[in-house]
Amino acid sequence: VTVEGNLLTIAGKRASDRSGNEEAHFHARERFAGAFRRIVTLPDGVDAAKVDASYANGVLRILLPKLEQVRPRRIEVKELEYKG
Amino acid sequence: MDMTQTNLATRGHETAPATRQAPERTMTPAVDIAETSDGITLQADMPGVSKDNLSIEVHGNLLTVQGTVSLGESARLGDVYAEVGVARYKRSFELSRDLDADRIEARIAHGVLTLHIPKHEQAKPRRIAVKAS
Repeated sequence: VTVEGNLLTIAGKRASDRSGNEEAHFHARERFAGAFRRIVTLPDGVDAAKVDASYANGVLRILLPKLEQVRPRRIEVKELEYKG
Repeated sequence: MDMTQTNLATRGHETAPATRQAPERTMTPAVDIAETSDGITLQADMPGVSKDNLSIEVHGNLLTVQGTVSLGESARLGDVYAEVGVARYKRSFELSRDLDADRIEARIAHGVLTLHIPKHEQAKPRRIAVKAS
């Protein structure tokens, strides 16, 4: 998983585990094996330094936090005493 | 050995019961099915499915594997773009009589389910030694 500029690239490969057993006869071979790559264009305002990736149950999860300066901020409204 | 001999035909794409309330998507997992003299090894891609969200049932000669995708925290986030989503995997297979459904072994790792279904002893090929008289 790499982030370069505004491009997030996910690349990997899955080895075929069909090898080894010469006598095996296949009834179905639908599962993907080999290398894969996917590139996603990221919107502006992603904090590339804080990208976090985790992998569980065959699902890759990538968290791309927004930069501090693009997050919405709540502005406190001060109450001023009216002095006539 | 050919397809008809083991008769492990797939049913795939079974429709969800109409009583289901949430519009969940049911996906058919991709499988590899390999036969050796010992039995059948079936591997199914079910990313997002953990051991606890998996069910393997045999009714008669029908083997059904089902799994629910649980994406944990990210399910709470609003999707900007979603191809995976919350979904179920389901696929049924017709088992040949040669297979011993009582001795199915199953394990799941990294979202890949591996089932080993052994053949009945009498269905395994045997080598008969021929004695010279």
